Amino acid sequence: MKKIRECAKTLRSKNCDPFFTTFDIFFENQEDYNDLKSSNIINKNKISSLYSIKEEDVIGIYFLDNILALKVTIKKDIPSSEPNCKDVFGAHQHIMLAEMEF
Amino acid sequence: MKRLKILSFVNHIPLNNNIDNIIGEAENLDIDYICSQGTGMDFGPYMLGSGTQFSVMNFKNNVRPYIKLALKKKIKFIFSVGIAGGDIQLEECMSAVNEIAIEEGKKFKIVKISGEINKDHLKSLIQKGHKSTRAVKSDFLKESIGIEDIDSSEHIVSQMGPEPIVEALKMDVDGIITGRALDIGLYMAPCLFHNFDKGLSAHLGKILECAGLALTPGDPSDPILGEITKDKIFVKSISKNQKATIRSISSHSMYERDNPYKEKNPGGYLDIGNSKYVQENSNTVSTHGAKWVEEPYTLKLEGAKIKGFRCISIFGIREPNFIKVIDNFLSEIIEKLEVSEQFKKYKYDEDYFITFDQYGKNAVYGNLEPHKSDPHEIGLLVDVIAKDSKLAENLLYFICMELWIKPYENRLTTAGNCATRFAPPIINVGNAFHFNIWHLLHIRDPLELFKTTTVKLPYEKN
Repeated sequence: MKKIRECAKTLRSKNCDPFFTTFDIFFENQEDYNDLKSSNIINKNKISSLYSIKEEDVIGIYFLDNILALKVTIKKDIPSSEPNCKDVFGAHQHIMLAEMEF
Repeated sequence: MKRLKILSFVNHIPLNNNIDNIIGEAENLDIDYICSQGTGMDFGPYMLGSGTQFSVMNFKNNVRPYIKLALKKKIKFIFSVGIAGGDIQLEECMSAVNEIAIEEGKKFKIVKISGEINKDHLKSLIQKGHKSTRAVKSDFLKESIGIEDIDSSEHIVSQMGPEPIVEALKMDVDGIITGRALDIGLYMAPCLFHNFDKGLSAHLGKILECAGLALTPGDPSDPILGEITKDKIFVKSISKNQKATIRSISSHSMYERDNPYKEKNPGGYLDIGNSKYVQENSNTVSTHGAKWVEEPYTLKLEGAKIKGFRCISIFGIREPNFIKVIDNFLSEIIEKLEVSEQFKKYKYDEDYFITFDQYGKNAVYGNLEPHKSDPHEIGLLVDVIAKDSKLAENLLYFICMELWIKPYENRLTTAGNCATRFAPPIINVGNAFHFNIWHLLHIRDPLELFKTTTVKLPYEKN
């Protein structure tokens, strides 16, 4: 078993307008990328429980084979335009994904 | 025109230390346009609502070398300015450009395009039956814009598409300065004006909009150079410290976007699902295959409404016995406050909002935080937003007193429950805002909402 954080070259989260957070994970080598993709652990059910959101609020999961990358987009429970948002740029939401094992 | 070259930089980022070398290099590159984005809602609704922006001095320092380059080499420049890009911010930036004209002893002509939406005009469109739909299906947004939403917004802006800029390019001026604008529209405009393919133009804009962030290592304070031909676009770095690689360029194409292949824009969407990338040399990437798919024209409107007045306090908590009981202690403050004589007439979530963030424990992830053990220290941020400043201050004073002196189980200290960072402890932040308008307006004429003015600089003195 290995953690995503140990294999990723870049692992970032960012607002995609104030209502969504989008995660981009780029892998260093083909093997890690293939292992994660074939593990099937990145799915709507898993992401929704990781971030405590409804399954329908996982907007998209995309594997980009040509650049060894994964993109996941979720709806924020509190939009970053609301006064009690804890991460205005959505720039630090990646930890739960980073700690996933596959 | 067979090829068109665009130099791109971001104008709200501090000036690059290496700027003299960059400009020196750029002078010999046969650049046709200098484009630069300086608007965005990433910073939330505060600046739109309050009519403020980041340092105008920073903007002025940043654009000066590029304006000098543009005037010297007769390159047209296209800048969006002012972060939220309302009229207040646009005029502040125009004054800064006017100062540059005076200080550099140059005379030049600008087309200024406002991104702020006239409320009466918008009301008349809504009353005439123009459809508006929320850009995102969210419980925080109404399904469509009502007249009352227009009235309660402090300011409303719209991301203008490339069309008003293409119109301005037909005029005999040195540059175009806009308020709120679609970032990629600034780059699409010169490409469309010279009849290049719309899909490629949009893809070029998408790569260039954050300047050197699309290079490796990514740094948006560095500029980037883009070129469009009949069937390809080329991207390269100017600085020797950065390179364009297939990975940096293709990964930037999906930055801040929900979908890596499709991007919704006014009048259609960009589809880069079939884009191919080629490493032309160690510092140049080309791409082709982007498509533009036409859709009915919509403009994105953004409006900011006052949520209330905000005060904050910051405390440090180091005593383990207090850290052990802090969650209950904070909940009890709210309970006491709700039944107190002075506050019981106000409703939580309506008249006021209180948030406690325990930095060092779970301030970032709240209940999702996987580490549950007690830390040795907590930075406590108390955030109060109330319908007016007096209520906010009074609520926070009540909370401060509770935090300072109220007893808790196994307390060793008599009072002084925590370390107070500031005296007085209450910091008045000002109004807090939220986006009450984040909607798409269906409109036939892409130019209709945007006021265009020709301005001669320096301004003539009255």
